[in-house]
This record gives sequence, structure tokens and C-alpha cells, in this order.
Amino acid sequence: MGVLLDLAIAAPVIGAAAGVVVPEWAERAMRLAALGAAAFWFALLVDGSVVSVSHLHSAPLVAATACGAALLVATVDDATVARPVWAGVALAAASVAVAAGRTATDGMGAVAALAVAVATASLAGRPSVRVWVPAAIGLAVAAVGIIALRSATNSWQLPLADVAGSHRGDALAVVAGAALLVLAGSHRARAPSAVLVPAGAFLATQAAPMVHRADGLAPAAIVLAGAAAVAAVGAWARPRVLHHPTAALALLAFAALVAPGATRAPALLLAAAATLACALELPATAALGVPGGGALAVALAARGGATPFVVGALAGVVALALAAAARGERPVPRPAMWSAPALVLGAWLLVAPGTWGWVGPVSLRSYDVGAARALAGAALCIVTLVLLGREPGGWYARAFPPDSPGEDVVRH
Amino acid sequence: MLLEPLGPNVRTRAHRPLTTLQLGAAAGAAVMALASAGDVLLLGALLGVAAGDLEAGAASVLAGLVVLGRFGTTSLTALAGAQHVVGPAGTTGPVALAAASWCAAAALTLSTRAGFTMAALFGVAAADVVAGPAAQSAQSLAIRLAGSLVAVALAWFVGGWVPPRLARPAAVLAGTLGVLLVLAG
Repeated sequence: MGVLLDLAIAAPVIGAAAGVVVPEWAERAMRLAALGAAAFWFALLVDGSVVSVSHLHSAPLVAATACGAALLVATVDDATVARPVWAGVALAAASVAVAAGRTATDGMGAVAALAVAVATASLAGRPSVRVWVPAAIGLAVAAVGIIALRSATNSWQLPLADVAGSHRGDALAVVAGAALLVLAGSHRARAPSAVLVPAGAFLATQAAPMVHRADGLAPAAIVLAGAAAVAAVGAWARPRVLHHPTAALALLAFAALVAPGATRAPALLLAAAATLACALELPATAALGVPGGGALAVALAARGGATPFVVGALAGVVALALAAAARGERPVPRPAMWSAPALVLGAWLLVAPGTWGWVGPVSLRSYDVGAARALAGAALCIVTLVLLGREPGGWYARAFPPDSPGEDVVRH
Repeated sequence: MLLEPLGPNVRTRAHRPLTTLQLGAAAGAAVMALASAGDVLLLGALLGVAAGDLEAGAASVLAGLVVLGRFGTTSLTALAGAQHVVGPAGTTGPVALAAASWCAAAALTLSTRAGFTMAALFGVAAADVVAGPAAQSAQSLAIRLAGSLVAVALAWFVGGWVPPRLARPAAVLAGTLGVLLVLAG
């Protein structure tokens, strides 16, 4: 498994090197290398064990995050990439960031590698103030939090071994910095800077246990859920400054991470949905948040109380706003073949989220059963109608056509 | 003789063909509702897609939240099992919670659209929420059948005769009222 980890980290670098040698193949080399890296990380994720090589390691959460980042680079839009070589370097840096540490995440190593990822992602695309300014501020804030944690505990580890210790303020700074990173990454879907979305979500996930402690931090959860609602409602604004499904789902995931109750697994499902939404950029990708949203509703209802109610209500606003925005979207072009792996993973998330064991314990068995049966029923219905050669509806409209094309005009 | 509607708001069984996505969602939701298998929030989302209407989807999900608040689970199987043991949700338990179940059923019934297939789908889903015990005895089966028939008939009436501009807000209102009753109960 150590070899797989080496290959997963090295693949984007090899792709970048190939791009330097043969510039006209740089973009294709970048995508192929990213897909290769995604495959290696996926193998590590399926294996599920902790693999350590030198100062890098892989755990299920690490592998899932890096796999998402690799898929994002594989699906980048041609129009957003000016220098494909740097996109490969950005992916390698993001992979190092999430894998930093021998057996647990090294906070400062992660932030340093993310700084490289921000710089190279900006070089790969067309540098935008709306990307690198929030990303730089987010990295600075997260670094301050990590240094404060180091000062207090003499450890760079994230999360600390003693998550119940009194380090909420420092960890909250890391989560806030990660939120800014995600906002920077969701500036545009399918852009090189999108690698910041899973990387930021990973940073927040690692710091969140120190914020959550025994029963969450109500003000932080409400503020983050409110930010998610604002991001979702902003989908109606023109011109758009964000890819709103990505930003809203990721911020809702952050809110779930620090909300009262057992909300970590739903938060990870929402973060995965945000990453895949960023990779697919289809109007309906907001639907990927359904499993995480449902699991979050169950977890909040089980906890009860005012804060879960407020967070749940804001999550409802997010769902409603994203659904309304998706209905108003115009049809988009057919996704490129590079999006196929992300599409498959999206379908898997939508139909069988309970099998995503890396997110932890989550009560989605009834969801899985229902989704499988619904899918089977829908497929059977559509196939039957196609085989019978019947249109779903409106049969009488064709059975009794107007006598002539001008009949309606004559009638009026 | 050709007749035109008198105004743009006259619904009266106006035919709107279903898209392939709506048809698939309707079939999936029908399987879940008839078999009482799956997740009630997912059922709500599928009903919203089948209806092709945001308010209908919101009302259906609110009905699902009523179930979650009352029974502590989103499993349709658990909902049917609980009703088989303690009786239909609309006639057992505290008054506020029973009323919440009726509100959830009303939200689903009012979310339907024209067409018997859609009325049957939303009606069966509504019956699941308020009188849908697992059919493990003749009595439970009779209750479920009777509840389904009444709910389908009501949904058929609503789909054909109540204008959407009235039915949709009423559905959302009923769902919201149900959630509030569950919270109060």
C-alpha cells in the first residue's frame, strides 16, 4: 500500500513533467495523471487502513479528500486553464497537504502545502482577486490557529489527541480559515482553484472535533448555517460570484461539523456532495446534498433543542434555494468524458450513501433500501414504456390532431 | 364543438404530460409508498420531482419531517411497523401529534397534480403517513386499504378541482402546521 501512496502523490508531478516535455499534450497529460491519482487514492480508500510513508500518510478521510481533489483537476474546464502544468503541481501540493504527517495530520505541514496549492492553482488558471485574496486570508487565519494550538500543546497534530481540551478558540480559527479557503475554491466550478474545496473541507474536518468537543458550539453552527443559506440564496443574484451549490453545501457541512449532536457523518456526506457538485457543474448537482441533508435532519432531530432547530431551519432554506435555482437553470452541454468518474461517484452517493463507510456511522439504511427500490422501479417503468413504444403522456393530443396547421388561427 | 377555458387559472384536469424524469421519480416514489420501504424524506423529494413543483416538494418534505419528529425515524418500514403495533398515526397518541399526522397527510394530498396516476401516488403516500400500518393482519390491511382509497379519492378531487395557486400554498401551510404541532407536542 505504501507504493500506492507514493504513486498517488507522484502521478500529478509525472503528468506535469510530461506536460513540460511535450507542451501540446500538457492538458491531456494533466487529466490522465489526475485520473491516475484518483484511482490510486480510491484504492487506498477501499483498503481503509492507515498507510505511512516517510512524512506522509493515508487514512480513509485523507484518501477520500485527495481522490476528490484529483477528480476536480481531471474535470477542469478548458476555458479556465491557462497553464495545465501548474494545475498538476497544484494537485500534488493539495495531495501533500491532506497527507501531511506520519500517522496523523500535521497542521502546519498541511497549511504550508496548501499555500503552495493556492499559488500554483492561481498560476494554472487566470489569477483572480476573488480567489487568492480570500485564500490568502484563510490560510493566514488557519495558520494563526495552528500556531496557537502548537503553543498551547507543543504539537502540530490535527486534531489533538486530547480533543476535549480547552482549545476551542484556536480550532475555530482553523475552521474559519478553512471556510475562506472553500469560498475561494468555489469561485468557479471546474477551475484549477477548485482543489481548495476538498482541501479546505479536510482542514475543517480535522479541526472540528476540538470545536465540537462534547456537544457542539451553537453560535458557530448557526453562523455557518446562515452563511450557507446566504450562499444558496445568492444563486439568484446576477452576476454570480460563486458556484453556489458548492459553496452552500460546503458551508452547511462546516455548520454540521460544529453543530450539537452526532452530525459528523452527515457533514462529511455534505462535503463530498460539495466536491462532486464542483466537479460536475450541472444544475441538478445540488441534489447530491439529499443524503447528507436527510442524515443531518435525523441527527439534529435526535439531539433536539433550539440550536438544532435553527440549524435545521437554515438547512431547509439552503435546500429550498438550491432547488429553486436548479429549476431556473438553462440546460447545460453534455458533460465531457473526463467527468464520467465523478458522475459515477455522484450517482453512487445519491443511491447508496450508506455504503460510504469512510464517513463513519450514519443511519441511512432505510435510505439505501428505498433508493435502490425507487431506482429499480423507475428503470422498470421507463424501459417498459420504451419497449411498448408509448410516450408517457399526451396520447390523445396526437390521436386527434388539428385538421390543418391553420385550424387554430381560423377558430380564433 | 371546441371549448376554451375561461381564464388562465382554470385547472380542471388540464393535461400536462410528464417528462421522463418526472415519470421515473413517480414510479420510484410509488414503489416506496406501496411497499412502505425507504426513507420518508427521500419519498418527499421524489414526490416533489414527480410533481415538478417546488412548493409540492417542500410540502412533501415537511410531511416527512412531521414523521421524523413524531416517530424519531425516517424509515417508512418503521413507520408502518409502529402503526401496526400502536394503531394508525391519525387516531392514536396525543391530540397534537395525531393532528400533526393529519396535517402531513393533508400536505401530501394538496401537493398532487392532475391525473389519476399522480393522485394515486400522492394519495397512497398520504395514507402511509396517517393510516398506513404494515399489512401483517387482516385488520391492518383493511385499515391501509380504506385509508389509501379515501386519500386517493381526495387527491383525485384536489388534482382536478382545486386550482394549484390555492392548493400549493395550502399544502405548504399544512406541512408547516404539522411541524409546529410536532414541536409543540
